[in-house]
Amino acid sequence: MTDSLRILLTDDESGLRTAMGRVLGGSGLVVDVATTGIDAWRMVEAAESAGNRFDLLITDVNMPGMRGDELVSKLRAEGRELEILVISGFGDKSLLVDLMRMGVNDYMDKPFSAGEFQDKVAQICERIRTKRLAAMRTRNLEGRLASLSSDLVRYRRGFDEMKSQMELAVRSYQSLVNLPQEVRGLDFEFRVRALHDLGGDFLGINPLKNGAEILLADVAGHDMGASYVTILVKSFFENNKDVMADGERFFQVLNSGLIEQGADRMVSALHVLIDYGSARMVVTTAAHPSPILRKLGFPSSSIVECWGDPLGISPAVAFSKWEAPIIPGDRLFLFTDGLPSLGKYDPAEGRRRELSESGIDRLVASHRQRPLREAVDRIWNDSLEYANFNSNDDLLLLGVEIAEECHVQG
Amino acid sequence: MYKVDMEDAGLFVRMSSKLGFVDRAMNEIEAFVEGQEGRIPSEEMNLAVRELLLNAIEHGNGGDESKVVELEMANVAPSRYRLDVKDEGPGLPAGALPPRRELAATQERSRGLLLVNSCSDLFESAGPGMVRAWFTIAKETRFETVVEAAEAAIRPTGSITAAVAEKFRQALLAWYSSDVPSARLDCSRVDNIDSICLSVLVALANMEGVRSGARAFRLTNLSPGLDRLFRLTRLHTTFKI
Repeated sequence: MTDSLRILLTDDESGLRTAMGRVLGGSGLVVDVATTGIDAWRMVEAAESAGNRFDLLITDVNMPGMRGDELVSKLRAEGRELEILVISGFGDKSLLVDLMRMGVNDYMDKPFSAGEFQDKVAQICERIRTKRLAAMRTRNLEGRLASLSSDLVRYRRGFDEMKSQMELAVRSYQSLVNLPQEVRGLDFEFRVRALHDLGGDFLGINPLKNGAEILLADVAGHDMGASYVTILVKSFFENNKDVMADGERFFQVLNSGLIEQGADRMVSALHVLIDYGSARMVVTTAAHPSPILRKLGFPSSSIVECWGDPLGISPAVAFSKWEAPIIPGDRLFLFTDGLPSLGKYDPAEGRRRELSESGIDRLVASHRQRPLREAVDRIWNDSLEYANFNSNDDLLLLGVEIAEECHVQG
Repeated sequence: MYKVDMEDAGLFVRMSSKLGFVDRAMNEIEAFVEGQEGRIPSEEMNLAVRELLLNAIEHGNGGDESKVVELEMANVAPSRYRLDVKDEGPGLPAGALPPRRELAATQERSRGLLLVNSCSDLFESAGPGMVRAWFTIAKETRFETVVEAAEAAIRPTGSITAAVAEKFRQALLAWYSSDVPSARLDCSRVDNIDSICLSVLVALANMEGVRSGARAFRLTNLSPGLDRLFRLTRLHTTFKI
């Protein structure tokens, strides 16, 4: 505890000096010795200039040349902050009062036992250690406050800029769901309702040479941060058109991009690749609600079963892949979690019942015979009606149908 | 005319159709809910109740001060309230409730009803000249930390959502910057956690010390709903639950 403390012992009597030095050394303390007051003063000064200052000075009062009280007075006048323990043999109360006024921290009257001396020094060392710790904490706190106030200045400076960025973000977000007019071989119909000016839902379709890829993403929150991350997702997805990575690879890359940005925003996403060449579709999910598949001619629909880690949180992520053959007339319904989370209050039970994925599955099945546009319309309206037209999240629903002409491409 | 009758679990107000009485009735409701819950109703609930009273006076009774509006508020279960407002008018036409938000831009009159719909749990007709709205007084979200045997127990109440994200972050950081080596987030009184606050949790998990495991952080007492949430988002692999 006290091993790093440095002590300077000053006494002109060699017997006493040796005895005290032995006690201190036995306690594991580093002790330097001076035989006169003037030597002690020089050693204190030299140690300070060397950046290796003494923590405690133990000095006798009655010494030839510079006396102990003169030494104390000189050190304090110079602003030296080390602790001082004075050994006095006079029992002179007025001298003691003077010493205390000069800034002596403690004293001992001669004679004393080795044990008493050891206890006294241990007590002072403990005090020094506590003081050091407090000083260190204060320095840390000051450092943190200084960095906080410099942050504040930066924030203030950035505020005006932020306001204009905010307006830009609102405009950018509103243009996020901007699908191509037509995708060869694919019919699609979507409904979207944003809760606020800024939001986190994204929908994109990239027409590919031999098919299309679809991305649905939901960024946590409805603020500028969410909008920023959504724009990042959009730009990654637009680039993917050229890279042509599959869903899994795209999510790995997007995840690294999000982590690198340090946005700390959870993103759930769903990627669907429709490949006319192999007449298959591949669904990859990142903690996103599963889509619902309606096979042409089947009496019921089914929830696609796949799983995957959310994006933007951990550098190591994994995704399962779901694949199925496609034929013209097959439909896939995709939605962000606002839709299954739509709920209504049941006064009898006193709790809210959510529509859930299975509720949407039932709606898809019951409207399976209608043309795509009408089916999407009905599913959308029935979902809203279920919740008495109340929602507290962004809502997004997309229905896609494999068109007849996709055969021509294959 | 203004008459009020307050019972253990019910408040009854009968008043003339004077706009000035609306404020008085609102004070009565606030006192009633405060007596039952120990906290006043939310702004949203106040807004909905006020709209219902104004609608009864202006549209139900056509502003005729001699006509009467009756209000009955019942505390049907802990934190749950049923409000009936009756006027002397014919009531809303069939199909008017619930109001469809899509029609808001074209229908001038339904604006107040839209507010009631979005500020209540459920809003419905309850016979001629009478409407009924249901409300739940949400639990207040508080963050309380107790240190037990070298572990900080952080115990939030209510819903941990974007509105309290900063308070949540501060509660976690208070532990992180303390000397207490480990912490648990006790979710026994948590109703739900939204994705913003999940991100706050994840940010903590990524902080130096927590990631390395030098500072242990775990979640306890998750409700089945919360457990599902952590599994769906696959955060059960990030956190010790």
